[in-house]
Amino acid sequence: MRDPRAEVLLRQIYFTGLQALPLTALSGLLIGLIMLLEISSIAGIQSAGVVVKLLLWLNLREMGPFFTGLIILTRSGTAIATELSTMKLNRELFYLEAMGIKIGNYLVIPRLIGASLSSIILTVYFQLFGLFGALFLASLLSSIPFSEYGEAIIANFSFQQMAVTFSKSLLFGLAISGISIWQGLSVKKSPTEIPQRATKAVTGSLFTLFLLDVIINLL
Amino acid sequence: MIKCTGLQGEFIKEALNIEVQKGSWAIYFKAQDEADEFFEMLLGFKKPLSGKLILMNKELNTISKEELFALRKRIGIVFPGGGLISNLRAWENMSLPALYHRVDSFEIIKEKGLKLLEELGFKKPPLTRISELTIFERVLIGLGRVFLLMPDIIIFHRIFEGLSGEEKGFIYSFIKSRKDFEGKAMLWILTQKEEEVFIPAVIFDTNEEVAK
Repeated sequence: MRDPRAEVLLRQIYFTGLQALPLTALSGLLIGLIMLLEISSIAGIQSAGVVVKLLLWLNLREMGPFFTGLIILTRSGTAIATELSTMKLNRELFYLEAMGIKIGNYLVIPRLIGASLSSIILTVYFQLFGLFGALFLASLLSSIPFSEYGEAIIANFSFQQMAVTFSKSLLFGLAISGISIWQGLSVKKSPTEIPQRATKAVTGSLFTLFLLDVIINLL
Repeated sequence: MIKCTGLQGEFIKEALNIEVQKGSWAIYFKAQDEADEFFEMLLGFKKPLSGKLILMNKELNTISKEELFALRKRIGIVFPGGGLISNLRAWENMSLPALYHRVDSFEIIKEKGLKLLEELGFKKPPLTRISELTIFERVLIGLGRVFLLMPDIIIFHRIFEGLSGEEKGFIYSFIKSRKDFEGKAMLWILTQKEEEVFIPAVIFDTNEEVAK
């Protein structure tokens, strides 16, 4: 451990980002398959352009950031809230401040940055697995070669969609970690508050995800 | 280094007047609430109801939060039961304030820290989880943390609680044997009268107002 703040940041990225990779990849793949089956039942599996356009639209703009947000919320949001509330009840925050260590610098900022960066990375993973998994299945189900889907991706891909996906995942990561940190630090005296704060972190973050999603889509 | 005049609080009813300079000093409180209140006032966590508290020439009531944090960097504290952080391992706890405040380079802190662990007789691996440590081992890590920080003032806050006579004796002799604590101000906050035997220091007895 060289800089303790960097250590907290790396641990957050490891826990929120790296450890969640298999779950995110698998979820992305399954959601991608579901999206493909739904789209093909409406548009037909043979229309590669439409399938890809809808997949890209749904995956990049909605499913990727939102489902990744849900994964982060259930894994890391609850962990952050319970960890910080336990630390507060054990007087560990007092010990840190007494040693001249600022809670904001040492505990809050690295967690905010770590969760937000992880959110962006996991969203990209989710989208890659969702998109390519779905298209691989599509090429198996239809007579259209995978390369044709690849060309359709290039034709339909836009940087505007990427900007939306990055802003959503960044904001979702910030919102989840911010709310969970706030709930964790709001515990007062009793250990019975810990699960209550964890629940509030989940419900508060979930509501905020929906709200932010609507707001970004309206913009 | 520390000067209190007419200090009173929620639990400290009798006005407290003490002055701590370089060397080993101890203050004895009858009740834990009083000791904790004094400790919290000393670090600027709690405001006294009346009186003045001057720490390293700064009156705590009048300084900003930034100045307070700057002062805390110069104080080494050994908390009751070590005061360790549960999500960090033994070595990480020991090196945390020294690394955070960049007292030395990482290599020097590591070298000093590992040597200290050996001198403290800490037998478990440095990366042992806190939950696997006894109270005595936790206090040793807390003590090592202060040695690495090399502060101007060292406060030992009720550190003997839960320790056997032999363990108390070891801790006191270890501190006494350290050359690097010479010329520093050390304040022991006690709540158990019998602990005085371990501290051949100037004792402020808040109940009897006796100094020995």
